[in-house]
Amino acid sequence: MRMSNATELTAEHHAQLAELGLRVDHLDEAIWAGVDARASAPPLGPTNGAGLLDWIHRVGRLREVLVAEGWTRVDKWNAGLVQHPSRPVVLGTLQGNRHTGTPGAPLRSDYAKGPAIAALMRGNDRDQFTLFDSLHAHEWKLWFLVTYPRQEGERLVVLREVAQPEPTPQGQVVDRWAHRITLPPLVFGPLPAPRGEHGPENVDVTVTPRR
Amino acid sequence: MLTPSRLVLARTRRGLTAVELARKAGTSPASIGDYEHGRRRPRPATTARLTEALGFPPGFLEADDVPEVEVEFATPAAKRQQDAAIGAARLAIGFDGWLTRAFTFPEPDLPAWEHDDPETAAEVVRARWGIPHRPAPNLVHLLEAHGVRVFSLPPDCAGAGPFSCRHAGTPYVFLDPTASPDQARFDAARELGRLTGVTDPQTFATAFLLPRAGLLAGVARGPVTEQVVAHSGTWHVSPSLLAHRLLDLGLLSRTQHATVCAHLARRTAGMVQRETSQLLTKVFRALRAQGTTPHGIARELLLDVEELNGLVFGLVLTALPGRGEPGRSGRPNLTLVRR
Repeated sequence: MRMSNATELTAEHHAQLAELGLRVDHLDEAIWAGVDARASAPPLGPTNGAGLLDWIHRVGRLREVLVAEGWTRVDKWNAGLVQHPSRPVVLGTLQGNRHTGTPGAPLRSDYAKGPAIAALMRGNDRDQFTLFDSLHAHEWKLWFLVTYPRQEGERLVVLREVAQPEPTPQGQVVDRWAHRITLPPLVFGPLPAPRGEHGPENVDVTVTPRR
Repeated sequence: MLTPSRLVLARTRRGLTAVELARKAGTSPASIGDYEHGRRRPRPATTARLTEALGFPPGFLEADDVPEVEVEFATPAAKRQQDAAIGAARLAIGFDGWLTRAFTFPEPDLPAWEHDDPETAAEVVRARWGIPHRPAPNLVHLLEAHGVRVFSLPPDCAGAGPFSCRHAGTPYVFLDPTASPDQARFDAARELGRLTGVTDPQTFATAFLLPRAGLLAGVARGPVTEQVVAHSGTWHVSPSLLAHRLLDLGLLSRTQHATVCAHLARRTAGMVQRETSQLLTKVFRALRAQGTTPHGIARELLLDVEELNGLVFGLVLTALPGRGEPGRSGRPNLTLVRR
């Protein structure tokens, strides 16, 4: 029944995210909104309904919390991105694979990316490890909140990281990364047992006839 | 001979002004005022007309005084409805007096609260009653087991809202029979807070139904809507009440809370069954075994059975109305008295 970090976040995690103008709670809010929305998929809807709702709400909440802090939404070609107010950082969301969040493991995107993402990734080609050396507005670095939900018994575990891809041609999955900030997974525990049909337990009330 | 206070009680119970009663009974408003203040006594024929106009059985207006009660309403309502509710409460106290002569019930055991913190007050009551951190049991039973008498407000004055009062050392709670099961449980907890003397019964009720330590132990940070709904079943509260409490305890962020509330607004969830009275159920069962019907009780109390049923509406399964006559199968008709 928990949404908690399986291992602790470290000061380094926080520092790396801060360099991008992010906090862990920004990411958690977005992941939470996606998982929360999964349950509203109709039982007879398309099989990817829950995942689609997860993505819609994850993007929506991520932009909601960041726009409130001065970021700007970027909707070119429906890419669902958000841009930092002063740093050359653009953030999107991406579904990864089971290696999401594991340092050194072969992370790849679940889907091939379209023209918008491919174009934006081209900016990642320069100075990949020196993020903020350019003030040129077009030299954005595209980053992703990469997540991968996985059912582990009764728990839903969301693997997560924030990663910067290397330029990838349109129509290919993303599997080369310039930079990865791997984070411990977020765990959503099982639902508590269903309520009893009989409601709250009874209390015995002593009633004695007078003779 | 007419008892002035009974005339006032009967008139206000029926939600009538003196002018309206005078019109119904074929007398003047001034005469009603005179009778109610004891300045004049009506002739027997007038008393009979007044009794009939008020819809009470013969003799009601001539019986002994009915005790006064002081009530503080939490819900804004028309004074007429509040007066009618107070009238119902006074009749219920009379009914309780009749019951107390026939049965022994648990003695009142309500802690007197001397501090002002409703969270602590709720913890003290829970500790004293042996339910430290777990979900509270049936609230009506719990109150009854600790000497509180629980009645329903008759539907015609339910708009006055739930309230509590004391009479001769006995605490009474009157619940709105039109409230949802979750709301009725919350109302019972809130009136418990009022009876213990806390200044913020609303917060007391939340803390009593959803104790901080129990929630912190059982609900982890950031439950999604489905988990909030499932937990609300465990704690027997409405999901929205639980969501508010989780926000207060920092287990939901403000945005998560807003999302959960928006989802809850589009769905129906909550307790299915209303909490009923164990005390009244046992009493009616025992009386029936002795051959005493609700009609018989009502006759003794100089009430009609509808008035009596209004006081237990939704709280008890009782035999109605049938006047003790056998049904087609030769057995009494049982009717579920619940909204």
